[in-house]
Amino acid sequence: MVDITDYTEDEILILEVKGEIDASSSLSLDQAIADALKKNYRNVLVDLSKLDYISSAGLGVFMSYIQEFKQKQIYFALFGLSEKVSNVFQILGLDQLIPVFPTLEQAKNQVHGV
Amino acid sequence: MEKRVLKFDKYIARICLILSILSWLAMMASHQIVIFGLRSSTPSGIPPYTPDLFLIGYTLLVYGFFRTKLLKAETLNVIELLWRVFVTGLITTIISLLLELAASFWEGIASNPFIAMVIYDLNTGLILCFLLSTFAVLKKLVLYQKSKNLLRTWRFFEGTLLFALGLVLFNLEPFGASFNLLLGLLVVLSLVLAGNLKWVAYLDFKEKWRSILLLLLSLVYQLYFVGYLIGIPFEHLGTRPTDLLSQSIFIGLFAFCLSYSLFALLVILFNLPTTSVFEKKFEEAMNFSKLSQSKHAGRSEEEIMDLLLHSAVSAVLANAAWIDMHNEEGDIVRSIGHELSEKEIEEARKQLAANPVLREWTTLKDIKKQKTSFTLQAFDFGPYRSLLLFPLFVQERRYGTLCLLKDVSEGFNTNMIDIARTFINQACVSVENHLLLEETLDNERYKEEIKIAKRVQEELLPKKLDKNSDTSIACYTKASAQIGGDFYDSFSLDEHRMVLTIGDVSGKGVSAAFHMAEMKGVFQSLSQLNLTPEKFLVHANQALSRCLDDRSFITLSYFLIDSRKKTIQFARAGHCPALFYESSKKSVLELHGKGMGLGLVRDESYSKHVEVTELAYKPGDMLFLYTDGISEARNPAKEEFGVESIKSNMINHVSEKTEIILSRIIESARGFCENQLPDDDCTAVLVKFQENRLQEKPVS
Repeated sequence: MVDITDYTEDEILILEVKGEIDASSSLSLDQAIADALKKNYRNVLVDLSKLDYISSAGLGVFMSYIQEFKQKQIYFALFGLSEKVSNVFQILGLDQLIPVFPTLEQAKNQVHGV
Repeated sequence: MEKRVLKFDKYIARICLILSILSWLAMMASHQIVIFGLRSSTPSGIPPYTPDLFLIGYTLLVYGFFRTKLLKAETLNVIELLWRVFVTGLITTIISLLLELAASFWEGIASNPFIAMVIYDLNTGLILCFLLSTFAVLKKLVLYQKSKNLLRTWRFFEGTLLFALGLVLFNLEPFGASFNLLLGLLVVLSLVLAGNLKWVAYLDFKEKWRSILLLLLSLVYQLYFVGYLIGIPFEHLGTRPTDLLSQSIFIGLFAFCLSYSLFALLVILFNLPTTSVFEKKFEEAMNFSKLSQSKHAGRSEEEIMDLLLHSAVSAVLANAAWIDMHNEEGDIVRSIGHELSEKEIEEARKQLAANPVLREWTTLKDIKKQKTSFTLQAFDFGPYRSLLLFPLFVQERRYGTLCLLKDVSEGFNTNMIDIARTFINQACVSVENHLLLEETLDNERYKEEIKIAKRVQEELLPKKLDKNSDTSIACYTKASAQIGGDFYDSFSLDEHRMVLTIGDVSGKGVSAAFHMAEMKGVFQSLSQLNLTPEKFLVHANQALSRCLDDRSFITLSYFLIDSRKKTIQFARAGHCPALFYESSKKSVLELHGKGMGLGLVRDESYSKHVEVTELAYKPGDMLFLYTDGISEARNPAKEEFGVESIKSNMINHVSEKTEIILSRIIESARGFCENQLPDDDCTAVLVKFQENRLQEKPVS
């Protein structure tokens, strides 16, 4: 099961993902990202620090939005990945397509061009 | 067997008939001899009880004849039985009347004591014949739906009659104390048994009228014979034979036949007015059983509704009715009418919709309250004056509406409504069963299709992989409960070079199976082109980008093994890194390298993400390809089996045969999961490099 909440900080929309994303819970992730897109923020960050597991279906959801974020010129990045989750992103090569940061601070620095 | 028994019965009946005629003749002859003896004042030489002996014999044989005849007629109904009594009575009475007529015509001859005796004996024979046939038939009627007690009473009655028959020989003083006691017992028993009239309830109206007629006629015959016996002019006879009416047995028989016929007649007569009610109840029971059976017969919903409509109409004696069947949104999808046209139903519906009381009822929030019926005792629509409306609920959903109309106001009473409700409940249960059955069948069909998809997918995976002179290859694959998308394949480019690949399609289920089939096609066609690993991945990515939906991707590892150069070239497209065991270092290497899953980037820029690595192998080295189903296999504590465990297993079993090493790794992973079913597909391929078995001869 997955629990996704969002909040804003310095004009940045942050999605906090908790739990596990498998084939069925990937649908809620999909919905959450689609909702985030509608809110028209320039920057969207996803906090994966409390994500324990992600299946290929969940990775597919992130992948499917890359193009759309690019088109709408929205900055989209992930942060706080555990070693295991990070490893999954790296093996697939998804970290080459979506920026990944260790912490929220680092992600925000990137957003603000520090 | 049964046929033989029947035949046997036929013989018995015949023998009884012949013997009874003979004993009647013997009785008559003995009477004649007695008269002759009296006339000529010479002792006749036969004992005085001889005629009585033959009379007893005759009685028993005639009864035996009718009993055996009726045994055969086990399936006869009441009317047919009564008809027999009527016919026997008719024949005997006519013969008896003709005899009387003839006697009065030739009075001179008839007054001859010998002739008079013959006429008397003939009449006695006829009366007994009728009486005993009636008795045999009535026995059947008394014992209709018999109980143990009833049977016991009947046997006692029959025993007493037999005893009384025996007493004929002893000439008990008529109407003496012991005679009266016996007769009293017989009469009481007759009256008790005459109360057994269960068969009456099963007659319909027409049958009841017929029974009344037949019983009435048989009563007339009986009374006629009793009258005849009373009026016999014994003084004209040459001797005084045994008077039937001075024997308890015959009085008892008459008492039984008369009382039973009379009782039956009266009971049927009094039952006549309620017959229609019984018939209706019976019809209701039949309808109910039809509705109950409908769930077995696999009837369609419409057939069940049709049955309900007609059952309900007959239960409440409605003049017209209709059923509306609703879909899940509450719209009417079908209507079945009884004595109403589509147009009339439409109009009635409109009128109902305009009724304020009904509207209040339909908008009831409480579904429980809505489930009850609704009566409009004053309703004015065409010739109809009252209406009864039942909502039909199936699986907690408003399934339909049953409306019953009557041409009188206040036409529905609670009794009717209760019966109709019983029908409705049963019909709704039947529909529910029908729907559940359909649902189950659909599920089964779906499961069956999944099974087929799974089998097709399994057939796409090769049972055996290509190998070359340097390699020994073993493979293992196990699909999860759902359909997964693991994939492996091989292709020999030429004598020395072979391609080995392993992959995993994202997601699960039928879509994963389709993508995997696409991958197989892409691999088999691109392999033929003899491409470099880099080119292969770029082309595969291009092809798959057009096939995969935007959320699916495929991870793949591609290996080109060259047995002449002793090298492995590999490229990794987002798949988990293969493991390479170096025998010289006795350690396992993870074959990382940059890579990107197929379908992640769907333009030319994909080529930037491909990296090809080459490494040399020596005999004793091993290459282990796997999908994350193995490395990420989890135990109940949610710990992963992990790559390190695979590595140590490879090292520990290095000296074993390829197949054995592979199965050790799989067993180890399974043991780690405590034999739980993995929730992902597991696929692994192990390549062991060996000395070239086909050593090329050194070029001299």
